Amino acid sequence: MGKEIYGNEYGFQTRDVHTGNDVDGETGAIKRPITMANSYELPYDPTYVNWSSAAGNLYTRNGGSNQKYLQEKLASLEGGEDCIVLASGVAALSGLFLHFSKAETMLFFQALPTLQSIGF
Amino acid sequence: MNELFNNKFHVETTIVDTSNLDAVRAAIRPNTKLIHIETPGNPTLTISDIKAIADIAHANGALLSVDNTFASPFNQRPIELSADFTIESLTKYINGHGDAMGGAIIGKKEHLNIIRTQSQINLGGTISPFNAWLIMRGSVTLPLRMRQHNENALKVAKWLESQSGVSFVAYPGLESHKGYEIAKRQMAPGFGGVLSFGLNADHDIHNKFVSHLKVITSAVSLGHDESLIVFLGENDERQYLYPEEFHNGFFRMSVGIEDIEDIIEDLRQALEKVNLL
Repeated sequence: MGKEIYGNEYGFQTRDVHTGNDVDGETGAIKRPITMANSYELPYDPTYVNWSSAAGNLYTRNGGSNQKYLQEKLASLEGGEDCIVLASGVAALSGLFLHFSKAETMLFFQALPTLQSIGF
Repeated sequence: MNELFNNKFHVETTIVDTSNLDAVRAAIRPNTKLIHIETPGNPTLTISDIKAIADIAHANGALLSVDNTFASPFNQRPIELSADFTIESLTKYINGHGDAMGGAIIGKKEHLNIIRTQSQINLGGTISPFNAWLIMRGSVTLPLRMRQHNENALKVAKWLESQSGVSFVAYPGLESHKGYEIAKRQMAPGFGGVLSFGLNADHDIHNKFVSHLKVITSAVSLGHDESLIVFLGENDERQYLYPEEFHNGFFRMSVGIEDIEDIIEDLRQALEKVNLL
């Protein structure tokens, strides 16, 4: 989260420009840098760490910094409470569908997901 | 869908034309948990009524997810229309420059917390930091680009509709489009940059037409800065799902943000070269 929160009192374009961006704490750069490191420093006693947690910075598969900045922006632009950014559009579709895999029925419009799954 | 979800996970799926609300109501079963729609739909540009389908879903104890990729959040925000989830392919308009790949699920924390643990952390669908950064940067100009995509696509659609060599044009911003009234209500300020159209010609003329294009590139994907076109032939296995006019082969075009005069001139000279002007 940036220091400033740009809520719905701000317009779409303003939120698009500012949400998820902030001044970089270390360099003072006015754009957040890319953090390519795939791992983050552990606490003094790491035996209490939940390795499947998305909270905090732990390991990039659990959530990277640049991913989190983008999620913050997209949740704002779509008017949603939360957002998950994944590796592709189809990863997003299958992530959602697998969530309902305990259920028994789903409906789809005109086979779109199959179109996307072949890279259409 | 059925092969994957039913055979592997014992999840039943039903495919219905969700532009028809009666068909949606008729397909609901006691065990329906999720209705997933895409509007405008790929590649037919069919429009489904988000609010009406959200009401049907909720009245039957189901949730609604909407693939919003063709519209982008600048033109349409399904959650504000009572949908429970929005899906975006970030590869398209949100990144907008054709040089990165990503996807997003937007919705309530109660569901997303579980999806984050399952699909991202346990199944490993995480985006790379570099792609996330590229999309963060590309997305800043989304409103500026969408205004131009909306404006250019409407002009291209109207121009194509006036050509005798063109058999049909599907674009929700045209008054001739079946879903125009619903699109006008739920998409504002525009109808996106994707349209489909056909030629009054045989299979090979479609390929010849594409080979003469100089500004518009023959490639899949959409929502790039540059105009893209893809020829979908008459033997497409998903054809049975499409309206009649799509059955002779058709183009899906993603109208880019180039100068509109150059896009239309490119289409015009290619039509001329295949004697369809």
